Amino acid sequence: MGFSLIAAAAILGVTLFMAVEIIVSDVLPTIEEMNTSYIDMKDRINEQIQTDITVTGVLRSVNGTNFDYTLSVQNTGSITLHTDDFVILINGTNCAFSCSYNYLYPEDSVNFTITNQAGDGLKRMKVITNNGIDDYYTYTP
Amino acid sequence: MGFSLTGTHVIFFIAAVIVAGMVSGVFIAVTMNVTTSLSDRGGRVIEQLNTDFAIINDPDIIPTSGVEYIFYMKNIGGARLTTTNQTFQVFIDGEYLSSSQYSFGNTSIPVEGVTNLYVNITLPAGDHILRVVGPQAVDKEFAFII
Repeated sequence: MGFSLIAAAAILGVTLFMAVEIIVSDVLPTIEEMNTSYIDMKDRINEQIQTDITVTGVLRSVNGTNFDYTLSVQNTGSITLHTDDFVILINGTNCAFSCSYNYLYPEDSVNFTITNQAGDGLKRMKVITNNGIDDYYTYTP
Repeated sequence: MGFSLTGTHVIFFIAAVIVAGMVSGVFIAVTMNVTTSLSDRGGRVIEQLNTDFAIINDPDIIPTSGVEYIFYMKNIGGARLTTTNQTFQVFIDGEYLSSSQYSFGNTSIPVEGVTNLYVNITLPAGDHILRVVGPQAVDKEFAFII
């Protein structure tokens, strides 16, 4: 009777150990990944809060029958921005641009050049940073 | 005639081992089911945390391509977004658009990338609300005027 109890207890003990091992090996890595994703999300939100830009001016030059625009954008936030991932909309349309700098550091300004834009009228411009923060500017000829 | 004392002990021992083994089997099976479900749920939470996007249009001027409106969708999350009619659903003014009424310029958007969302619908002049629902029900609303 006593030996039967010991054998049963041993089997249940080994089972408990295996269950703990299964939980630790399967669930802990998932919790670690969740924690990493949560920290990344928190960092992204912090960066968005600390990101701000201002379109300080727009210059227009004649290019044949069309126009080139040079937008001066200042980083008024405290996060360095990657200019390659900016988006510039002119009258609502996504326009290809060139920029002489890859990074826009806090307090610095860079120029974005958009070429061959048709039309002489008012231009409503929207500049969007790599993390979705934006600023508007209306150019009146 | 009956079992000897040793025979009775052997029977009790075998019965105890069989019962303990059955309990162990059930316990391990339940533990594995629970851990699998927790891992799956964790994976979905991770996807939800990594998913974020924004509609970056100028709300005053929505560009068009033929009969389609173009909305620019930017990936501001932490993972590449798969942009198909299965992963994204689109509503305009609360009305669900069928998958034939919208399409994407690319099949996926890298982090910080932009793709076009083409919406084939006739909208009257006035204010409208676009709602885009992405993976794990992460959604964004965008108010615009036509």
